[in-house]
Amino acid sequence: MKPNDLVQGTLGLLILRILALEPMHGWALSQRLKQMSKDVLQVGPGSLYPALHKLEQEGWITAEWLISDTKRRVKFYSLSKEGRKQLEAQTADWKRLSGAISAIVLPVRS
Amino acid sequence: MRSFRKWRLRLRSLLDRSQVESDLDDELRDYVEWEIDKAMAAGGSPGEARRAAISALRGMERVKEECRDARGIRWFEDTLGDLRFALRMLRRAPGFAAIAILTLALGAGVNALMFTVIDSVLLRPLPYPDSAQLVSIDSVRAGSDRGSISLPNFLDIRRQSRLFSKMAAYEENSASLRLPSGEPLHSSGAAASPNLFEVLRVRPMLGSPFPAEEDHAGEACSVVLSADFWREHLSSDPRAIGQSLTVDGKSCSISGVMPDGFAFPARDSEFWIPLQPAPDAANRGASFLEIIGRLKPGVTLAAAQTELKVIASRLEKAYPDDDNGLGFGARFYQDRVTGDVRPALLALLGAVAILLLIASANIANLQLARALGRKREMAIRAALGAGRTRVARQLFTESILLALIGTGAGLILAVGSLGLLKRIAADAIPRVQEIALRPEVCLALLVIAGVSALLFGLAPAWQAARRDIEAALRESVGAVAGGHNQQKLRDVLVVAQLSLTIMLLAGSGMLLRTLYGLLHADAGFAAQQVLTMQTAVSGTEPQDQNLATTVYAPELDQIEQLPGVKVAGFVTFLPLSNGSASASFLIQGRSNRSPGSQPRALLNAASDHFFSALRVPLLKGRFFSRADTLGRPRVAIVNDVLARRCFAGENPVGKQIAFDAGDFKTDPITIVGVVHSTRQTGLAEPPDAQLYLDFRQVPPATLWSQFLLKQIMTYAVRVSSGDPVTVSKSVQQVIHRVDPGQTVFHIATMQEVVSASVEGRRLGAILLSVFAGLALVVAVAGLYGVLSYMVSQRKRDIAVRMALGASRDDVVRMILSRALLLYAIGLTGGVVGVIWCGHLLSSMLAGLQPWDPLALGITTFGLLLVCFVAAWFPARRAASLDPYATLRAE
Repeated sequence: MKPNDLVQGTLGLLILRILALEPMHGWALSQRLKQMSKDVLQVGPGSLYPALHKLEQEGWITAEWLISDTKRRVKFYSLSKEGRKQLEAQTADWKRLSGAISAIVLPVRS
Repeated sequence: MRSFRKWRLRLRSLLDRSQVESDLDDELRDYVEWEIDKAMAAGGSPGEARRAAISALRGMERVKEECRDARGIRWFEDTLGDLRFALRMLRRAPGFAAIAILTLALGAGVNALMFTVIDSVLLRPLPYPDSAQLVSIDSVRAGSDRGSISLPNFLDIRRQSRLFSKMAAYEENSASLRLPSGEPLHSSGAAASPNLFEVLRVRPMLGSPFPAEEDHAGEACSVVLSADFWREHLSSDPRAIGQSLTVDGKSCSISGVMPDGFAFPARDSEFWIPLQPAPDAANRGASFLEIIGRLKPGVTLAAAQTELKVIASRLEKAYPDDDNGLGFGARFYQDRVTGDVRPALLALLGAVAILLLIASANIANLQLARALGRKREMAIRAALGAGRTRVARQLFTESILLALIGTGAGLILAVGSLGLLKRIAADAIPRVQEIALRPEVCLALLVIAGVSALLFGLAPAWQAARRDIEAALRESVGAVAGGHNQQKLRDVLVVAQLSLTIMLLAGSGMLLRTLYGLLHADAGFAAQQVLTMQTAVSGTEPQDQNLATTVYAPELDQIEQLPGVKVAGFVTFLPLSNGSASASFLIQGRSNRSPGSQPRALLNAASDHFFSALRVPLLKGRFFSRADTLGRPRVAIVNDVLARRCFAGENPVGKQIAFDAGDFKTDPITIVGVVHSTRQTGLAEPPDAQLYLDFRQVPPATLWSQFLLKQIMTYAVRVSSGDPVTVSKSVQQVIHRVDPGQTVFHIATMQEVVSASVEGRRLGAILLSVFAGLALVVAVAGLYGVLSYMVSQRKRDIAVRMALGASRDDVVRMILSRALLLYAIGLTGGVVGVIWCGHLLSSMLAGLQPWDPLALGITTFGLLLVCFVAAWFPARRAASLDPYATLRAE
């Protein structure tokens, strides 16, 4: 199984989680994800940007153009109020689901 | 809130596309630059950094595409693209596009027209506030039509009813008016109880309505005028209020002017005067009033009907002589106004719906044929990755585009022809002045566009969706394309078109035949070379003046001396013009029967030459003569219906009759002649008993002269040759010379009178024939198209047959028999349809069965001929194929 396959379904949740810490732009987000997952999860622009745009379209994150230190126009994403609610709901779902999957997949030590 | 933001973003993506796109570019470029920065920071060479950038850039177009998808505007952008493409395709097939749009414009146009008429006439409430509360009350007696109500009965209904908030009586009227300037003219209007305007809840735009009933005493008379009358004859002068206007010799002060569009009870009503109690107003048997009431809020029509039933039975008990068998019927006033034309309009609506179906079938057929030609195009697009539903959607977009353009053109067509329709329908459709295109109609048309797009777009789209790509690509262009299923579908469409066309043709055939039958029925007179004109004396004559000898007889004599005039006659009620009076009479020498069961006849006063002017045949006895003057023994002429009814087996000539009702009492009157009956009320009505009195013998200063001579009278002038209209001027001059106060109006040849009496039927027949004609053209074009296409697709097949020895006649026969088969199936369907919906037309067919063999026979034969012609050309083309050249070309 490629790591990305796992990520696909949960990428939205991961983005929300990371943006909950601080607003950031797309590239930084991909680096942070890689770093936080200890290099397990790598997301290329092909997955990252459509996911970001979808979340923006849903209204869960908002985007804002800022000028970076290097004087470049950079699109910063931040979590919206809606997004925070969504993050909580999805995190709860994730806990329930992953718990259930773990219970089945991981061998029980007796 | 959230969805609002979502839509705002989506809208931005749509409207501000260039900005969104450049943002997307910036964002992705930013990513690449971070990648490069990172590579450089990691100490990599510029070359490595470049490699990193290239790898990051790889697939950026796809990323962009997916980002656009994520924004959720893909569907819209696709549709835009499809529309653009569809437009291009239509431009590339201008012939197809033109035919399809034209066909659809015709179908949608006539639908828009009928929708507009039905919306304005039947659906839209009448222009009175809360018009749904307005109810018309008629008397209903067993075995007779709805009728008027007498004044005492009206007053009783009004007193006893609890469910009506207000109730008014009125009588349609026409009168000789004299303007304040002295100019005489004739006009129609109504005499109404003073509360009429309160019942209708319409106030004059100028001045005030009549004074209330209790204040209305004695001879003081007021008149309310229509806005048009005020503009035309009083030059919109607001000071006209309070001036006096002479109505039938009586001076009335103008109290108010009604607003524009107030047309009660008729379109041409121009004045309203308070209802004066007529001399026989107290007579409970004299029914001459129409009643309109306003229901209290929340009261249903059924409740009102029940109440009226109770009141009727009370009156019947209280006044058994006059109110025996009396009943009252209530219906919505709107139904009274439009009820007569409702079945006809609905039948016409059905006809235009059918026409739209035929048009849609035709376009579906064209589309199918075109889809075959585009098969490879579709296959290539499918091979390039377009999904089947995607291809089907593209085709459907084309259909919708066609439908929109077609209906749009139809709408323009309808708007353009609305004025024409209003002109030709002015006398046949009520509320014609209110007919106007409204937004609802446009909305309905939009729905129609959608439905027709479904009708003609589904089949091609469906076929495209299930097509086998590979097979289509492998097929050579000339091979037998289309396949069996396709041909079958197209045949079905043509058969349906033919069936529907037969229904329309048979329907219009029946209407035309009815019309022809009516116009050529024995009306009892010869209408050619007769000029008629109506006149009315001013009403200011002294009560005891003998109008017959001082006005009418001298005028008739002088008219007959005019050059070109052969004979001039004079009658109270001209046949087929809307007027009649009837009375019951006694036959001398027979036992007196109760008033209710005495024989009745339509009454007329006529001059000696009336019968020869209209060429009404004399069956027995003699016409009136100059010797039959006032003071001589009174004489009468009866028609054959009366003779049969009252004197079966006896000779009526020499028998005596008399009138004995109250003021109408007469001495015995001797019947001196029997004439052929004339149609008094309408060509479709069976002739009724008629009784003519000599106009010179009508005693002046009696109710008789009120009813028979102080009326609108009609002159009928027969000319010796040529157009009777040529004598119109000189006849009017004679009338004006003898009695300057007399007004002349409704000048028309007798043929025009006859033709006006069938105006509604004529309009129905004309419209239906036009619709049927359009349907025929469209359907035959469809048949021609299918056959031509069949020939072009089966060229090889035909060539092989010819090579194997089939003669050209065989080929022609093959195509023709195909056409015949389609025709036969279509005919069967059409006949079934005619039987099934024929009853819809029955109200418009006077006496003719909906199943009319002659009309149907002519229709089927005519259509057969047209189909034959439509098939002949493709057949000839097939037969003139050069088999060897054709086969070699394959």
